[in-house]
Amino acid sequence: MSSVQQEVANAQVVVCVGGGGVGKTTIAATVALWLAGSGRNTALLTIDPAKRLAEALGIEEVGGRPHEVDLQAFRTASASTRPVEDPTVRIADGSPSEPAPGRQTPGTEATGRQTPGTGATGRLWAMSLDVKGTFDEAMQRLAPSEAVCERILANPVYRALSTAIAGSQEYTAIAKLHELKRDHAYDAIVLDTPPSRDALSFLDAPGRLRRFIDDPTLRSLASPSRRLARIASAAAGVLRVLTGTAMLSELTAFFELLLGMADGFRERALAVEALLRDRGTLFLLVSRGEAASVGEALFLASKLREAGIRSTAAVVNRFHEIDPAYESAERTLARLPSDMLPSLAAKVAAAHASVQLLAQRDANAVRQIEAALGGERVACLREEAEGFGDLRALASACTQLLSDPRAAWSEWS
Amino acid sequence: MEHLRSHTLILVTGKGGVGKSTVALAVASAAARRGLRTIVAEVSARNDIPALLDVRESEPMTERPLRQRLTHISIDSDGALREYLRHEVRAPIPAHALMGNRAFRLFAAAAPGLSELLMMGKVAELSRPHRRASRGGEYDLVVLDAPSSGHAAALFSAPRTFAAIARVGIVARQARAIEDLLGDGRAAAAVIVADGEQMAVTETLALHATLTGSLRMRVEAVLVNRMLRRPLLDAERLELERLSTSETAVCSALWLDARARMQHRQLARLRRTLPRGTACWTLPLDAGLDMREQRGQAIDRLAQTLGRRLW
Repeated sequence: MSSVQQEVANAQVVVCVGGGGVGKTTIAATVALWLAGSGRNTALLTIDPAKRLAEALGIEEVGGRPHEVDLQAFRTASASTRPVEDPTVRIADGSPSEPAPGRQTPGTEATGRQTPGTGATGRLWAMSLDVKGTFDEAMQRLAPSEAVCERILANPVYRALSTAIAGSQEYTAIAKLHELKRDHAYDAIVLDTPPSRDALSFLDAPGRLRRFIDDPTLRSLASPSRRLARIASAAAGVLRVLTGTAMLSELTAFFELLLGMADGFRERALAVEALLRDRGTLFLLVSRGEAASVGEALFLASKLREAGIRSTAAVVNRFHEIDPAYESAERTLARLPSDMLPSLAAKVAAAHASVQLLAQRDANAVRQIEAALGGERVACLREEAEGFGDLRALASACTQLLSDPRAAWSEWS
Repeated sequence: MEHLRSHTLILVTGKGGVGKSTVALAVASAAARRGLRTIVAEVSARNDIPALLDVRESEPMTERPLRQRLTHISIDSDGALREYLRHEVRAPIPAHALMGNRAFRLFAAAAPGLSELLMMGKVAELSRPHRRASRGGEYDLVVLDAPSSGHAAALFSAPRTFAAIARVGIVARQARAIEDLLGDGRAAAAVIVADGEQMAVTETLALHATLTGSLRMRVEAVLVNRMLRRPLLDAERLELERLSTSETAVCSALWLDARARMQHRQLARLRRTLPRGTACWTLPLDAGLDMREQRGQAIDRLAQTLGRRLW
């Protein structure tokens, strides 16, 4: 097994992080499918999945509730993908598969047929994150009484904060993770995360929440007689100017209510912090070849390192493979059939040169990320022309990603 | 696009990961080249633009020259609040004393929409003519490298939301003024950046509807970034497929062609679904943008293309 495969196989929780537009949700789905295929009961939590992906997983209707994915359909789809290189990856049901027609890039020819027969596969449940619902659920669990719960759900500050996009998705993802871990018997959980530039905001959300709850300033607000004395009257005056009198009292009420639930929040925050730092939690960085997403991946890698998290790996998505035989467009021309029209041959050579440029960029991305993570912990997922919308495509991604990803690589580099 | 000449504010938004910051910088560069004193602004403490020009990050809330007539600023919510307190509010105690009060900061951070309002307020302040010299330079154009779709909608709608909650007072009045600026199509316009992917197109359509609908903003154009040109004619593609060869170069050409066709299908879907008359332009994929040594030139190329389109 490759390094990345090993990391994933050893993890109880896989957290996919990365900048916007890198394909985190697809990677999360791929990893979850692989885990289920390798015999583990797996939960997949996605954020805002594309319609096609949601349809492929069967979760487009269900929203925040877990829905079991039909793995039989996935197995059938798998059977028609390229032969699996690693016989320990048992995904298809054992029937020999045929190579996909046409394309065969060098170095990826099948090294052997897949071993028929199998271990039992696990099951997979998928759900997409429902931000508002999870916040309300959290409040319901944490409120000391129904009355308090109603007051907080009705508080306009709470309502605005719970639907505000920035920040709440991070917290909600973590809260859901905590709930899944605590309340269910999954062998593995794969968590997709919001496209958050700042991994620290995700990692640090429990810590920030805890510090907020324990802030002495907040506590002093609980005492009605000293409520506004803590805020010098001049400051209170300015707050009134900024927000209006009504908002000021709503804010105060909100903080008081929150304080009433402080213990619950703190306990949960501590539990989630521990979970994120656990050795069994793997952070999977997802990037593409574009400089911006590499920059974000490197930033995330350094933040994870600072936080003392060593359980990391990465996937470079939309990857283009280097053609080791490529030297120049002219040399490429020489390799083409001599009866090909020169105009067509020239176009083919030019297209190949363009792709090689992208491949060089991607190779550079892999090198940089590897240097940041230390060791060979980067897998590459080749770009498909049509994307990974359906089950067959996901099956192909699964095979590609979690077979030895460097087989093609290491021969050339 | 002559009416863009009167604009003082261009807001660049779109799905995450499509190249927004690069486009924002290119738009700002194009304006600077045309003689407009331009400032490119980021909010929520984002500081990505300097890296595109291979220079260090800017100090927060500081107007930092990048090139001739081109300045950069990174706006954070604390900084925007501090400036607002210093310049716009008559308070009996100074701004730094207020900011030093933890309870004050806690409340200010929690008040829904206040941070977004203050940051948008700073953006609006930058675009004001005849700024007091103590506040900074004068600019003909502000280009905002806005956050990605959902966050952008929250940012642009904050003035309205806030005015509705606060209802009275000086802040509510200023919120309405910002709301008016955003809704004034002759002064402020949005540019939505997408790429040729299904999700980006879907998000663009939703964002366009939100911006022009409830927010009543003007969308100047939709820019579809990283587009490939089709390398083959249909007949050529068929011929290569017929060859059924494993020659790498042929596979590359077929793959690239399939990718380009997929992008163009999405582009067609976008054009079909956007309201009639919406300007929708493509920007080419340029590998130079990803290579440090070539990025400056690549951005200049992009600026030239955009300049021709927008002015």
